[in-house]
Amino acid sequence: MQVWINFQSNPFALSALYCFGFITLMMILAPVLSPFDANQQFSDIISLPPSWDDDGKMRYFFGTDDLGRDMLSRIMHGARYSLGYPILIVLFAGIIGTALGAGAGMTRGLKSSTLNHLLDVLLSIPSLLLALIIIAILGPSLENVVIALSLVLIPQFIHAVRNAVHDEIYKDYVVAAKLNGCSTWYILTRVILPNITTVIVMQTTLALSTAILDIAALGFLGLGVQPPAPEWGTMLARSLDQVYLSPWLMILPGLALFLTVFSINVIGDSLRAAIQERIRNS
Amino acid sequence: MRAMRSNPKQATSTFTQCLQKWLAPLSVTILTACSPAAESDQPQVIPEPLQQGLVYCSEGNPESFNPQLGTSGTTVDATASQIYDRLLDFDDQTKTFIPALATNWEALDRGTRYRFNLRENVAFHQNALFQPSRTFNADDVLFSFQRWLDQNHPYHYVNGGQYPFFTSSGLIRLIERVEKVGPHTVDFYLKRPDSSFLANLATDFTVILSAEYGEQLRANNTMGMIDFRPIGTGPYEFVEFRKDILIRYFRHQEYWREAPAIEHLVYSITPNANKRMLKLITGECDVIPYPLVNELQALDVDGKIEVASEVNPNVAFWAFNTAKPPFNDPLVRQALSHAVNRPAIIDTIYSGNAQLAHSLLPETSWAYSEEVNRYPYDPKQARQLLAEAGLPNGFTMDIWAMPVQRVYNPNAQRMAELIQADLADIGVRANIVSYEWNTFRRRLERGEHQSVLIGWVADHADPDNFYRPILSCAAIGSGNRANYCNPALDQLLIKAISETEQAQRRPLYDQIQNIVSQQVPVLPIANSLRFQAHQADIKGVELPPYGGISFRNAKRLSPAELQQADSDANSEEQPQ
Amino acid sequence: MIRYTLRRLMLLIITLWLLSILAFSLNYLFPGDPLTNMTGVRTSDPLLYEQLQQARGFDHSIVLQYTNYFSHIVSGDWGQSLVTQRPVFEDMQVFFVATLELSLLAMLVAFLAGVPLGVLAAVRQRKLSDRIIMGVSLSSYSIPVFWLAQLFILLFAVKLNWLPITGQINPLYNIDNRTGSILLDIWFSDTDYKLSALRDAAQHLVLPVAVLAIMPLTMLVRITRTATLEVLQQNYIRAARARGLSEPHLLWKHALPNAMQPVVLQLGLQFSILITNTIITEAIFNWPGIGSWLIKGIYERDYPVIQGTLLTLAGLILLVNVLVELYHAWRYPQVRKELYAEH
Repeated sequence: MQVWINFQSNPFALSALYCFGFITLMMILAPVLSPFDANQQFSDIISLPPSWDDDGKMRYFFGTDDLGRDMLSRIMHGARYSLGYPILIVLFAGIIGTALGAGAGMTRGLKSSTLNHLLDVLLSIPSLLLALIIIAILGPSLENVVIALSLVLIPQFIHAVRNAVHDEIYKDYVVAAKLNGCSTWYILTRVILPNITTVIVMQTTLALSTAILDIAALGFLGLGVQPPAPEWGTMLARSLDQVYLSPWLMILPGLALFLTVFSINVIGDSLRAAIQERIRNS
Repeated sequence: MRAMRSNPKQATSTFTQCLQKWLAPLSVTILTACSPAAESDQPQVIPEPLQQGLVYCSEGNPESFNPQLGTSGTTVDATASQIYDRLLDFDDQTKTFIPALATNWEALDRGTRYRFNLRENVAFHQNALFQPSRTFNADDVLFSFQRWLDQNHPYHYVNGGQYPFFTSSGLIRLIERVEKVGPHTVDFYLKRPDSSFLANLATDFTVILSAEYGEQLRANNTMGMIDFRPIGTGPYEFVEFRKDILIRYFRHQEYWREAPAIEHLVYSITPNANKRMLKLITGECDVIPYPLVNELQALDVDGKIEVASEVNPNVAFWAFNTAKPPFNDPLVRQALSHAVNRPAIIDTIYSGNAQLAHSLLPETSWAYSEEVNRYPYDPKQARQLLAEAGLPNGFTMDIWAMPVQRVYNPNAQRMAELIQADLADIGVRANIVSYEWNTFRRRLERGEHQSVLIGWVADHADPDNFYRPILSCAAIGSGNRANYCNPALDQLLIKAISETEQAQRRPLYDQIQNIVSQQVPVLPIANSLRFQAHQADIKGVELPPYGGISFRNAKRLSPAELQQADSDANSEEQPQ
Repeated sequence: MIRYTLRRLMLLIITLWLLSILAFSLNYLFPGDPLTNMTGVRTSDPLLYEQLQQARGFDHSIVLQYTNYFSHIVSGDWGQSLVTQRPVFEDMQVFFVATLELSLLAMLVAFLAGVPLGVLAAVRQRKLSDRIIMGVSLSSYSIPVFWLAQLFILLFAVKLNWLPITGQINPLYNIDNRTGSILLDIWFSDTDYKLSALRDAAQHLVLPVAVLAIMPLTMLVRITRTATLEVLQQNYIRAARARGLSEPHLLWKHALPNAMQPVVLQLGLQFSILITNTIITEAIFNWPGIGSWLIKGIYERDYPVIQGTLLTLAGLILLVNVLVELYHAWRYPQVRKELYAEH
């Protein structure tokens, strides 16, 4: 609660939260709100500039691309790939990674240290590189990108949670609980977990921005979500051929990506600040 | 203040190092870059190596440096006119054959024997492995032809042993033998008269290699080198090839024609169309193929860049793999043909710079006939045909789209997206498939595709060249992407090529055209113009309609010459 | 310190060994024939293929195959490319140096610009310049690197025409590609146009280095700022200030060395982020390094190359991390004790 109050008092954090909420809402309501289908082609209205341009039309608010598809609809539908799938991936990786990490944090000795070294290897390989290797094995497609990024993010959660649990386990209150004869399960879920929630939340925002950027980068390289799916990175790569005549095709998806990642980063940053504030005050 | 200076000494020393290392050049850069006036006043600022050099930003890696081995346009562009010569060339202006390595030739024995007299004192290139001891003679002609004609030739199976052009054009079965008559005379014996024989010899694929080089490599047991460290008689000598980066050529000083004006020719490999265009604007490229024409025209390039266009004998088509169901059913192919909105493709993909194709033959060909099925855009008809074929609920299929631009198709992937949307209307769900270009071609050859967006550029003007390489049984695995084999059609094709009079051939080609448009193994899409963009001070880059690019007559005009040329000719078009 | 060093080196060797197991298992995970994936020899060359099958122990157990594989990797036989048929290890050296040139220059720029900016932000805490620095750093941290690269190309190369777009140098400079580093290559070449070639190469470096440097730079600014702020609040600084030392002296002599401690520790992590961005940046700027080679390798399904690039990049990152840790432990002895306590 204290964290939330601190967080709330930061206007940047709040606006970032609203921004993120807005994008998420857009994504969820895209099928209802978007004016057209993402792949509907208006072959008589090709490369129409956005509505604020002199040649633009209100009907196609963000203009149309070189095949006559409405950009606003594509960006809204694209959020499902560029934000929706990363959220799913992070949830999935988070649940598995946290469970494994908590287990690893409670154990000690050889098993734990072996796991730690294995994780070191995996974590030293940048997530994008690892995802690229997995794509090389499975081939580029949406499902494979989801699998690759989940596999890549799980070790990061394990590592973060393990270290957090490890740090807590020697603290007095845990020792006290142990001496009271509480079961390991009880200690983990009722005593330690509430105290490392913030770590998990922070790791989640970090993983989310990683997942978004990686999915977009894979799309940009042509190794991720395949067209005509309106994934933002793929759209950006495909728009480069038209960059002179229709710069908005490249700028809009890039801007959408930037705003999403930016708001997530500001939220994560403010959370960290708010947590530090609470620690300082307590 | 004293203390403040003493401590960061380390930092400052690294900082100065850094300054020296790259900030200094950077500041120089910015200084010079910010004063373009200074540069244009002093043309000597351009370092000497850059003055007589030319950078051509090519679209991909060649598969090898011998056009005999493949049909890829990229390989042809990089090799045929630069490294090699042919026995004769085709002059598009006069529509005649002109002498090249052969000084003259005559048809004997009612067109079943051709005698060629060869040019003397033609020097071969040299490289670190090879110093030629003699000039070009009949042995080299024999070596170059026997390599693909004779399965027992030591080089026949080197580097793959596939000679797709010669197989699909039928040359391999047409030539019975090649005989050396004198040191500079050879005879070609044909199995039957063939009206396209000379045209085939003038194509980019029928190049002349060095027999002496071949022997030397064979003695050193490095035979594979012959196609990767090439030796020819052409205007440019091969120097080095770095995959994905560049190909370097130097001028061939002893070239038998006038040696080229360009001393140093570099192919800078830039697969990305958008980057090619940007590099042309920044001046990193002097010449680029397949420019994004619309973009360039919209740019304000101050007359610094010229875009040349010309009619080119090409056709883009959508080939259905007729060896795989349901594409073996003509009804399905007809349905798909009706489902595609081709006029929209011409507008969006080609930006109007192409003509809707109704037949494989371009309208400019003498054998073209108006009487063909035109497959207008008609989704209703398409659905009906599908129902007749027993597929009322549609099906799922793959569309393979090339990863590169070709002269006939500036953006296959975009085209595939358009077709995908059209097919969705008739209940056919299409997946777009693409691989890296060389992988793509390999898989096509194995027939792994269901349908593919590809095309054809003719090697010579004879109508035969639009049918046999694309639809004959012999061309399966090379140009025949539909894997279409129809013995009746094959017979007609042979009959049409054995006749020499247009009047007799014409009705045969009408028949052929009718069969093809009925069966639609391939759906013709467009005949596109061929574009090339270059810096205004580059002149003489040639794009022969039936061949790859040639830099033999290219040159860079000095600013003075450029002004002269500008004031001279406002009405005169620049040479093609 | 020696014990600590040995310990870290042991760990490095173990992790590298684990990495080799990962790379080995990739041969079986990649589509196609494991032996072809490992050596680059196709089954279409049956003679050589059978020879290799025996030499590599493919008729024996998987353990023997691995030991065989391991000894080949160590001795520098990384197989040959499926596309060019050239030995991967040999080509790797050139690509590796090219990547190193790019990433080290970027790291250097990030360090030289990031640390002073971070200190500046800390000193001017909550003032306008601090807010600007922090705002810019947070937003540039969120820019997708491929978008940034395209924007830079459009602005600096195309609109302003200051800089070239791709490659290491204008290809008309005929420079032998010996080391892979373009600056070194020019330096050791005997061309008559050394100076103009160097200038040309430097121009080609500016854009990719700038794009690459931005992300580590912004991170370093933030970390340096936080660390400096923390140090400045500590008692010894207050005491020094009370003794009347001047602010700049205080900052350079007393605060900065200690504030650098977390910054140094971050360099390893930043390097691995940098490598991620290098992969994308090299592909965009056609830089002939490991990153663009890897992407090409994936497009062309050239498994020996993919495997080799993975080994090299991951090995490089591991090595840099260990070196940073060792330097950190040597420079700040107090942390060593904590590390002992943990194990």
